Amino acid sequence: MTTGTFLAILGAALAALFAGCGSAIGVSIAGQAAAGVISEDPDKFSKVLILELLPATQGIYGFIIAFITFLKIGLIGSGSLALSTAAGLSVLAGCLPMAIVGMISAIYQGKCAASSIAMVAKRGEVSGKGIILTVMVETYALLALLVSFLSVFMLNLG
Amino acid sequence: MLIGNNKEKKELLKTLTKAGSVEIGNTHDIERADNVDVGKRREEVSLKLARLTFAFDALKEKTSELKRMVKAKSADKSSVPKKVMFAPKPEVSYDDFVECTKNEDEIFRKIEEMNELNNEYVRLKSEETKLKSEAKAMSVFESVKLPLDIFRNTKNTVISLGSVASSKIEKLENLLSGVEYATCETGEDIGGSTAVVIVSVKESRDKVQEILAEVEFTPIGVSDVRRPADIIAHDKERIDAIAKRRSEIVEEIVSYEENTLSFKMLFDYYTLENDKLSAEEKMKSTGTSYILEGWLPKTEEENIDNILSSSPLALAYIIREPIEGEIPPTFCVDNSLVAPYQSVTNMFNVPCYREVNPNPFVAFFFFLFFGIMVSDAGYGLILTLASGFILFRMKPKKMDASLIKIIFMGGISTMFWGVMFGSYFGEALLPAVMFNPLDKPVNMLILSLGMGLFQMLTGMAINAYRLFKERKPLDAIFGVFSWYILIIGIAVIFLVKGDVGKITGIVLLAVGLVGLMIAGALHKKGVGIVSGAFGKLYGIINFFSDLLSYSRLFGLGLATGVIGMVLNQIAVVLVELIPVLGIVLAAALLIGGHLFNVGINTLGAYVHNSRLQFIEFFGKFYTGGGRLFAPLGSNIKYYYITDRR
Repeated sequence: MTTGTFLAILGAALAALFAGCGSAIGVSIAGQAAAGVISEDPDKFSKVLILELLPATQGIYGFIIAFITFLKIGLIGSGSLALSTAAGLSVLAGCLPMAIVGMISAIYQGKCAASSIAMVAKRGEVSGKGIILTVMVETYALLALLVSFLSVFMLNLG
Repeated sequence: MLIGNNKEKKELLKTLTKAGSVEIGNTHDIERADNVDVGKRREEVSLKLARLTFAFDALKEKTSELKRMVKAKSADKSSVPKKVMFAPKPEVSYDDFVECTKNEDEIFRKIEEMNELNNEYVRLKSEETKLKSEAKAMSVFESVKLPLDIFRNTKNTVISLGSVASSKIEKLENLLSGVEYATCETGEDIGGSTAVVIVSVKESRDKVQEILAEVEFTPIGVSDVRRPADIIAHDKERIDAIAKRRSEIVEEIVSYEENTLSFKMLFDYYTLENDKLSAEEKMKSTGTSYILEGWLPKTEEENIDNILSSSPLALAYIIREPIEGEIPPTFCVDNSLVAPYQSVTNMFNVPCYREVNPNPFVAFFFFLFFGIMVSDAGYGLILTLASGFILFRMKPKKMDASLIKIIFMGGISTMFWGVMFGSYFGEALLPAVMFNPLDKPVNMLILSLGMGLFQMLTGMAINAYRLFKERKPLDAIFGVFSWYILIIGIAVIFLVKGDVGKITGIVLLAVGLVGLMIAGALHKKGVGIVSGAFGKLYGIINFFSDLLSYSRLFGLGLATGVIGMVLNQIAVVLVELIPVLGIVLAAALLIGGHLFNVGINTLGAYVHNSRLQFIEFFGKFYTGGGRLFAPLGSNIKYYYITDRR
């Protein structure tokens, strides 16, 4: 295995790692708020569950980038490529937006979700608005996903 | 506006409730006409509603308790009422609906019976708690084989019966040995406590009390003539009896479930009665007549006119268009394909009465984008079949179950785009009709942004229409058409080859820019002209950030496709690695995984799609801030009234 291949795998690992950690923290923040609401009013379970799940997507995006990277460097499927160091660094750089933006946006989205859950506790009928507010944060994770995807996928690794 | 005889007010409200298409508004102040006080009647209605709510709550609570009992095998499964998933709303004609008060005495008697059963249940429960704690306290004394009243004080001795923590027995014995004429007997250690009886002469009472306080002695009453073991046995017997009676009560209360439909009908009826009272409060009244003002949708004008003019009641009324300054409620007339999307628009803001109805546009774009976001023909099929099944079972009426209807249509859109992109459960089973987004990501990005541009330009066109209607043609021409010229200019620069294209493009671009600056400077004075003009140029940045936001169409589609692909690959690995069992595991993974993927991406598609409508689309033309039309008689929860439009 070359240093380049190692760097590419490192990039994939970082994307899955940081985005996954961020989602875990975000979902946990929202989940704690949700548990409080359910203890008062179990009927709101489905409403707060949707809000709790919103910060979970960053982990999935990180996973997607890791998977695409594995596919690209041939770890899955068509036999491993021997990447040059420069190529490996390029893949690593491409993975970084998903890793960093994914983690931070998931944590902050979790906080936003927790506030929306508190809002649902007071007024159940506005849960749709709470979802929209929370999803605003996710825009940037989606943009990071696209940037990481395009840079990893379009790279010519030869 | 309508004026009628006070005596016939109730009849009129009944007529309007039946029609279900007039919203009673606040009657404006009129000389010598006053508000009506409905406080007392309101109390009666609220009381009835509260009793019905109690019945629903009791049924719900006891049914879940019965289910627990079935799980603990202490009740028969057949006693739990069967709940039909996605049952359609029961239907009733208005006249039958009003008849429901005929046997209301009987229904309220039934609720009273439920209430009594419930009270008994609560009483028994508190008795049970008391008995349990008594039996627990008494268990320490089980070794005392004498009736408790033997331990009463005698003429010269003081007897203390009670319990002490077992660890302190030694201390107690030591301390007591220092007191004259005092003796102590101890029982067995039961759960960390030990029964003790201390006998002393009256003279040393204080000393003994001190010692007892030091070892935290807990006395027990000695008035009972029974032995502790008998008391415990008796308590246990009673507790068993209570438990039996309690489960009987639970079953009895649950058996009232068969009356749910009449409870629900009465609940709807009294909710409407309550609304009628609110309507009366908004009306004005003189000595002999009442005055009512309200709104009705234009489509219902003829119908209401017929109903009122053919009514035997003495009334005078006029129906007219709203005048300037009045704020009528909003009633969007949409066909049944567009109507479900009202729920999306209303989540953001209800349209204003005088505004362009955005619902048909929202419906079109929401439908279009939903499919691109989920983008898998297999998933589309699942969504369509699942929501189709629910719709088939529920048979919802026009305004109900909008979400399910949106998902049903979204499923169709998803199948279409899935075929376009050649994605079937994450696999390219058939070649893509258009292109595969994973092979040609740039094409996909262009498609997404193109769709976005299409929606944004549509939003601007609606804005231009609005401005023309408001007699602001200059704003429309410079503020909106400049954008079109500008965008066409950019397109020409990139698409048309050669110098001619470049020059034409740049000219168009420049014209657009100048137009935009003029739009910014309109209606401004002095320095405002300059800042307004450059402010509009800054809007170009907003325009492009809005446009890029549509890349989420690609992002969400990508997420769906790749997760589906990953699932399939893991399944293949499982089948290859583990013989026989691998196939079972792979099947479980495929079913669970794909269902999860459908679920999370449908949620994503719904919320991100809504966001595109709210921010990027509505931002161009829509203000909202209206109030939904809520006619008298529409506020019913459980029933559907058949004989009205």
